Amino acid sequence: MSRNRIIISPRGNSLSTALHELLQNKDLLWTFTYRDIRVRYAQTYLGLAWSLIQPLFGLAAVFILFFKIAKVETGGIPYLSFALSGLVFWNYFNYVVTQSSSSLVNMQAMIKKIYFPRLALPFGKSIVGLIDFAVALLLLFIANLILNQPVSGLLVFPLILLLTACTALGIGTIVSAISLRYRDLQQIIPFALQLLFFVTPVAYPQALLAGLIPEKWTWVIYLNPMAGLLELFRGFVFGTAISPLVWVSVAMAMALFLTGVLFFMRTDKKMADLL
Amino acid sequence: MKDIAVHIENLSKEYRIERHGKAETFKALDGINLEVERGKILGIIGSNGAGKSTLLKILSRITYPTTGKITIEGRLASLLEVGTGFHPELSGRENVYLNGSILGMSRQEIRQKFDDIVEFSGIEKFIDTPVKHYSSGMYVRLAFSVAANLTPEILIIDEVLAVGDAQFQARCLQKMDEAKASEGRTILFVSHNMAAINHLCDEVIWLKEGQIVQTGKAEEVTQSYLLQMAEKSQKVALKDRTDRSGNREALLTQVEWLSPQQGALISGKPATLKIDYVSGHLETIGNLRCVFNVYKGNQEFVVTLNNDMSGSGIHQVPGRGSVYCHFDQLPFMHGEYSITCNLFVNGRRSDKVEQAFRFKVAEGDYYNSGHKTAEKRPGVYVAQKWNTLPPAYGSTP
Repeated sequence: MSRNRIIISPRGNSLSTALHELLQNKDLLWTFTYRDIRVRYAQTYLGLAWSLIQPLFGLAAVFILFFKIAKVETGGIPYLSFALSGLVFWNYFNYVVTQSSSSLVNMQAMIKKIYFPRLALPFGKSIVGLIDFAVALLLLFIANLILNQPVSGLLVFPLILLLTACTALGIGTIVSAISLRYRDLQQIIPFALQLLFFVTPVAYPQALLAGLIPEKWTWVIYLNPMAGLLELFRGFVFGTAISPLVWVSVAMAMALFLTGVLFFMRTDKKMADLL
Repeated sequence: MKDIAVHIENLSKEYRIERHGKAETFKALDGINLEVERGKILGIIGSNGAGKSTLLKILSRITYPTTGKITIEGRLASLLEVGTGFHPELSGRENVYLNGSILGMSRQEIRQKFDDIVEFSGIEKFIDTPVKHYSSGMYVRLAFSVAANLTPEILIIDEVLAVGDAQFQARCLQKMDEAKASEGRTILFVSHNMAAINHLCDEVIWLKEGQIVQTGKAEEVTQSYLLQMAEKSQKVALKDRTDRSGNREALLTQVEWLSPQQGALISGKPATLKIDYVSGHLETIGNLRCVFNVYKGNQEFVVTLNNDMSGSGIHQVPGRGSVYCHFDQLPFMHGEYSITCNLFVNGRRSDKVEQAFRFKVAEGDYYNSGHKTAEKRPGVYVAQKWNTLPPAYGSTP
């Protein structure tokens, strides 16, 4: 008779064991997701409507700031469509980074008391964020229909979404693991994200940023995965140019994810002792 | 060949702690070797800080060992703290699912056991109410019910029996009995409740400072543990206490238990309470009266020790000295007590120290009846005789 055998040694879990366990505990992942969603809307008057209100306000803000005040040029694409196509992914990225970064510290009581695949905590957040993402994507779809923009290219979203999730989880896992020891990191995250927002071509086209630096340094922009991913998405949707340098962004996204998860696993066995 | 469910080899766990600016290592566990056979219930006892919790934490993979290896054959679940992951905003029903999956059950499994869980908890009526509206008792009952309905092959339990009311505790013990009877379930059980340990466990290990000091049958190990626990000298200096009242003609300076077992107090065995007093200016004290009130825990009055009341007046004693209160057979039941001391000099209160000291009594055979008493609550034994004969003064009122 084959039994489930667990070996506990100072080395802790290997990456493959950890991912395997995470897949075995799919139900746990769903449960965390369900809980987060329920708790988020518990005792709110507007409930799910918040998922609509938040991107609309974000859109209004960038519309005034970048379009009305800074008067950015978007090469013939209606600004609302353009900005929304960036915000759809940026908001998701922003949500997953913020939430996953604090996921361990917020659940420390549980980490100290019980074993479960720890990766489920940050990973669960990437699923919760999908609700807001879906609402925003629907908004983009409607905007493109109304503003006479192509909609078929939107179908590429799963690929961009996956890479955005990789990037966000890569950052989130690293930050969550480090902030077990140094809580300072959690203070930095909100304003680091704000800074990143302004140097990422979310509400303005990439050319604007590239114009600020010498041409041979253009690749530096693509070290920020979100820059390349948004360019890729807009290329598919609006038919704008895609630089071969987006590969740098894609590679960065995957590298971040792998580094994050590996780093997380290394900290995993010390987690309870750090809290 | 023996079927081993849990095999622990040379397990150690060190913590780095900082003291006076220097990093030191502290060994929470030090070279533990242990085999637990499938289907057995192993009890783990030891005082606080002996390493019990660390051992369970390593077994349940919350923390990792520094050296050594554990091989676990089978699915393991642990109840280090019931109700882990409960969220106040969610309903009882949602929390059952949440807690169940954190404890390693699949949704399907939880669905199958849902009715049992709710019935066991006895809070059917409130199952769809957010748990933030629950009383703490209801909360714990629901949490324990989820845990009790887990069916892992190996179960780790830490002190869960400390929760809930007596009735609920009884049901939990019964549930563990069932688990014991059901085939192949291995349980590792940590508790300070020696009665529960004796009742449930096949084998017991006693941990002390990270090492196993004794392994064996439950009764043997718990008995030597209790003896050792009681073997601390129970002596308390009172002269530095400032929270005292009275006219201070004479003050209590020290109270100490003496016994043939180096100060260990055992029900039914001889023991003596030694009371030291001193007077600032009196050469001799005409009349000294000691009134010592014994409390169970901190508040509940149990009995009073009073030399006047018991007919032993103390007259014309020196201004400094000792008074003894002798027990041929210590009447206190197993447990912890505290004493409030009163000293009267010539009829007036001279000194009073509330909660002057605490002492522990280990269980013993007060009635010399041959069996160990099962009484685990603090209290006193009284002389009693049982038979089927009516009293000599007749059976009618």
